Amino acid sequence: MSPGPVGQGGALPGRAGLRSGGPRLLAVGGGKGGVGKTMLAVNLAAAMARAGQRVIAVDTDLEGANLHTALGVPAPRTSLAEFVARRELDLERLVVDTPIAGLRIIAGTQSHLGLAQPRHFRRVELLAKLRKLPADWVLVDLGAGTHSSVMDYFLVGDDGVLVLTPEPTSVENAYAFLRAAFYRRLRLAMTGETTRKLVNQAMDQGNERGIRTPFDLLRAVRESSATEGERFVAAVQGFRPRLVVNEVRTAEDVRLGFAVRSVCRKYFGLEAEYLGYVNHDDAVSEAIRARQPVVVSHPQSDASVYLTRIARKLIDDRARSRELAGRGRHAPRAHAPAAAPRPPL
Amino acid sequence: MMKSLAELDHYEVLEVARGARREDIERAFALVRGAYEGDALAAYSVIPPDEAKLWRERIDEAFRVLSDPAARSAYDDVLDAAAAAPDDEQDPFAGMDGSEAAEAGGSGFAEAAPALRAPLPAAPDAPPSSLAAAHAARPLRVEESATERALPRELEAFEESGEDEGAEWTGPRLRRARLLRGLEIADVATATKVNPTYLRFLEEERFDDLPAVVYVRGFVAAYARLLGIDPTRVAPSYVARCEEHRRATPRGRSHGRPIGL
Repeated sequence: MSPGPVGQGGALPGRAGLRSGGPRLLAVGGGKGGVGKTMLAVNLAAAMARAGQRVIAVDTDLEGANLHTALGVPAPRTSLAEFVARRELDLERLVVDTPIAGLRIIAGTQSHLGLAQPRHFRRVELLAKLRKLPADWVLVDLGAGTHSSVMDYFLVGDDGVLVLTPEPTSVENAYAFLRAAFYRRLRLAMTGETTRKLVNQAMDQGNERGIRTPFDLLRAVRESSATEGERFVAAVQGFRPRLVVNEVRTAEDVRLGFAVRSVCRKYFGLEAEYLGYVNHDDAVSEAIRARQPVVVSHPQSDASVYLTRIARKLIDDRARSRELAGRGRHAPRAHAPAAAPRPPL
Repeated sequence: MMKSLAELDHYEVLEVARGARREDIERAFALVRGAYEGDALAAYSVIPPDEAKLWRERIDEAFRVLSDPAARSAYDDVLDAAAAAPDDEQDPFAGMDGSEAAEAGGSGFAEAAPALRAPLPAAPDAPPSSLAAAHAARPLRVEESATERALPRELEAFEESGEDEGAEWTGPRLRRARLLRGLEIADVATATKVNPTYLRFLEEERFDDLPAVVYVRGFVAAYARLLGIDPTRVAPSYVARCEEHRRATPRGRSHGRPIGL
């Protein structure tokens, strides 16, 4: 796996999970609040733990911490806030147990309001330490919005999962999220001052250079420098968000995942993967009220079946990519291309 | 590969493999075409209307060529020739920038493949303009249900990975199988002639609102058959659940509502 062409300026820790044998980092985001990010994170975490994996879920939403509650853990006194405030430098000591065997968490609760999100360098340090946690999986529950703090967690993960619901507001926010992640990744990948500036300009949709789409931007970057153009393409190709459509009610809702994937491909030039969907199910809200993941409180429910499948798919994909890596195959990606391979033309 | 609209070949436009079978192409067309409809959820917040129109034209053109065996074969020859060309980039559009290609008619192949612009056999029917139209144009029939799925095969792997539910067939499991095949309740109702309300009751396991067992068995069997699942696996399991529920909650009258609702 290519660690991704992260420029010197970016210095985000590479995707080393596979090689080092450390945990695999899975970030769950979605831009809009209320689409089910925390729901998906706790349920994937719980389903993986039940499948025998060692899982640590991390709540990075310091302003709206609630992961612990979704798992029935009373507001822990130790949390990520201690690390951010430099009161505790050993992440492992912030990990607390949950009622679910195999699943532990680092909460996002904070004892006093007003603590800012960690700055970029602190985040880089945090991300490097997350990779050293004693677990098979580290699931990162992201806050809403597209702040750079959120983006860094999403970009550095081995897998970035984007949750959306079949509603115009959610879809719009999902694209805003993707666009923000995409441009941040590009900016970190560019090494030249001129090309960085181009990316910055492109982020403004009303820019005067007429750069509207990533393809316009690529053309401009290539004109400026062929090497940077190559970096650009590599950065785009290394970015592979995984989509989950939540609150599915109809077959059309199911198709939304494919449609968004198509738009990603055609409009952003991005290969997204449609990881799966979760049916709308009253059991989910009942589970939240019971402060339990639905896969634990209602294991037979429709939603649990879907969530368990997604968890299993992630575990299987990882096992497969390890197997490939073991055989010494070239650059195994965690997610094998889902569709039939296309001939290069 | 990062390619703009003008650089995509017809296969890439429909997001299918070069050797895709006709049914896969039809399936992909319905899916991709639906994504760029005027008010389609996936596209409307990012893609300006005029650009979406360009996409739809491009998608229709790709489908016209790839769904016609003769045109497809001619097109494949052009692709092969382009791939074999000593051109350093092996790219028939090298030197043509996106806007030129778009002006040339929305097809990157406008110049590279003049043969393909020439008289294409007229589509037998007007090209389906939407997913709904595509469905309407090819009504579902029970016999061909197994090949009439609207979703790509990759989701089937999603389903199979979850086939740990054993022999028990529940209402939610039927619904999961239906959604996976891209079918709405209305599609199933049309194809099976079962009242959509009953289909919904079946999925929600509202056993008290369903008619007598003999009807339930028939409904479930028709439903399963449409989904391409062996009805003899599904119906007995579902009916057993229904009967068990009715035994457990005696209501002092014969179970099941009179058919006709």
